[in-house]
Amino acid sequence: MAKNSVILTGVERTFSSDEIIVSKTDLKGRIIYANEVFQRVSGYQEQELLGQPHSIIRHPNMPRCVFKLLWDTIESGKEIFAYVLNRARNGDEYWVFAHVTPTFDRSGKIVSYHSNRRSPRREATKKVSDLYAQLLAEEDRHADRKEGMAASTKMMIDVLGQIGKPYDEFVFSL
Amino acid sequence: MNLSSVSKAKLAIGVALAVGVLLVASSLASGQWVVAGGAGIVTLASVLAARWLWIVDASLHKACSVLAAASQGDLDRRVVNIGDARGVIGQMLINVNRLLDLTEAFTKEADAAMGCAAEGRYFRQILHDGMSGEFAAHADLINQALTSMDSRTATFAKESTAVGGTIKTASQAMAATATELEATSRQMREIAHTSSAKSADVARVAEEASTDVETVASAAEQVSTGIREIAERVSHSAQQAKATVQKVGQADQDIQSLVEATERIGEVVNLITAIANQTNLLALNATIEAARAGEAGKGFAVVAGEVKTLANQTARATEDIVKQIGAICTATETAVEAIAKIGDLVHDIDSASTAIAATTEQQSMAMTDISRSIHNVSAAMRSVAGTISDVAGTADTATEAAGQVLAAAGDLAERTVRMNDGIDQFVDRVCSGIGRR
Repeated sequence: MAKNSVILTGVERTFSSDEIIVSKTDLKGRIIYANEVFQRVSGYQEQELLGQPHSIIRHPNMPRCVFKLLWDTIESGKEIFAYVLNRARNGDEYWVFAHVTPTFDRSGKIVSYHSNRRSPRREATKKVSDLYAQLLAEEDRHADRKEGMAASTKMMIDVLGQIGKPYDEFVFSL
Repeated sequence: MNLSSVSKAKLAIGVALAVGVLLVASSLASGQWVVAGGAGIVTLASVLAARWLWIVDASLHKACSVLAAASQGDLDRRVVNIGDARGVIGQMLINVNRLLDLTEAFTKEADAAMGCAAEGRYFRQILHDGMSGEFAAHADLINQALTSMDSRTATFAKESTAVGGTIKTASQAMAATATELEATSRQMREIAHTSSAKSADVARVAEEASTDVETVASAAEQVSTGIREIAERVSHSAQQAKATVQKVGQADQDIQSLVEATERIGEVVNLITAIANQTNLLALNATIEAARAGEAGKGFAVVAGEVKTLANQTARATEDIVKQIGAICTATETAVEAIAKIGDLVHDIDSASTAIAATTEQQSMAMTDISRSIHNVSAAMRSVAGTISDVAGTADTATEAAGQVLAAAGDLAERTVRMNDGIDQFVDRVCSGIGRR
């Protein structure tokens, strides 16, 4: 989906801090469950979401390296936290603090992915959006997508190295 | 008949539908149009009711299936495609999902927090946001427990490290001491070994020397004995010389007596010579007188001639005697001179042998002293050899003891090192076990 082809209104949506946006996807990232908070905040009906790729709510201002890290982490069987900017159906945007985990069957095999999203604190999204803007700019500097992603990933690793914390602790410290 | 309410409702609707259809058919056949219209409405109502009942039934089945899975511990399942359900049924399905979302979120959060806590990472707490009611209360409780564990493990780690440090300092000191002890006992063992070897050498040499000295002593004794024998012989010679001197003196006196006797013989010879001359003269006078007496005197003349012959023979005999005495005197003088010389020589021998006797006596005494001294030295050396053997024995014991100390020190050093490692590993284990390094 080309960046300039999606509608963006610049309007920010929020949801209550005692609510969780929940979704489940199959191993290919296709939505198999979206709760009613998901539906309400994203503006999609259940039927419009089921079977669709999770990138349906992807916002063009999100750097790709964040999703790469997310997928790499959960595919390795670990949980991940990430601040994510999403796009609602009508072009509005909403920040979530996403916690994504793999779901295992009895034999320990990953059968699906599960994501709980909470309403993030304003100061955290402010810090993150600055970092994401840098990462995105780095990705946009490269014509080749892979090169861009490699460069932004390196940048993120460098930032974490400067802070001196592993990614998960860094996310929690925001 | 044990049927659920839905099944009973289905049965009732089925009956209503069948009755409606039959009623429509019979009323149309009999041309009762009003009845047919009413029956048609009932039938239509029954069909709609059946559809709604089917939706309710499907929703209930979905909810039932998801809840059945959840009741078996499978929290992953959700009710989906709930778009057709409205009102209380739809809300019920949404609430089933909400309950499961909340429960699963709680369990995943708790899992993650506990998983991190198990690794000693306490920053990962259950996110309070999104939790409500008792879930939020439980989450807070668990988070408080994690915070408490965090601070306690921090304290514990600090204290363990401090205790480990203290123990390590002590054990390092012990290790250093053990190492020193090891070095000292090694030195001790070497020294003891060396002194053992050296004292054994000394003992052997002393023994040999003692034997040598013993040989010298016995040689000295032989010398002493030889000297004593010589002294005795010399003394004997001196005595013999003295006896010889006495005998020579005796001989000298005898010769003097002989000279005197010879002189007296000379006097007697002179007397005899005088007597013989007188006799010869008397014989001559007798002859003359006999001749004057003639024949009567002829016999007398023969006797006078015989006397004269005897007197002449006596005179010749005395002349011989004088000559003999002269020879005796000459021989005696020579003998006297020789005896005097012998006396001198023997005297010389006597004084020389006396001097020799004194000297040899002194030498013999000196030799005896030397021999005694050598015996003493030999005894002392034997004593030294014995003492040194004792020393060697003691040194051997010391070597053995030092060896034991060395082994013990080595063992101690090794154990201390192991203990040090053990303490390090223990502190590491303790700290890593509680996630503090």
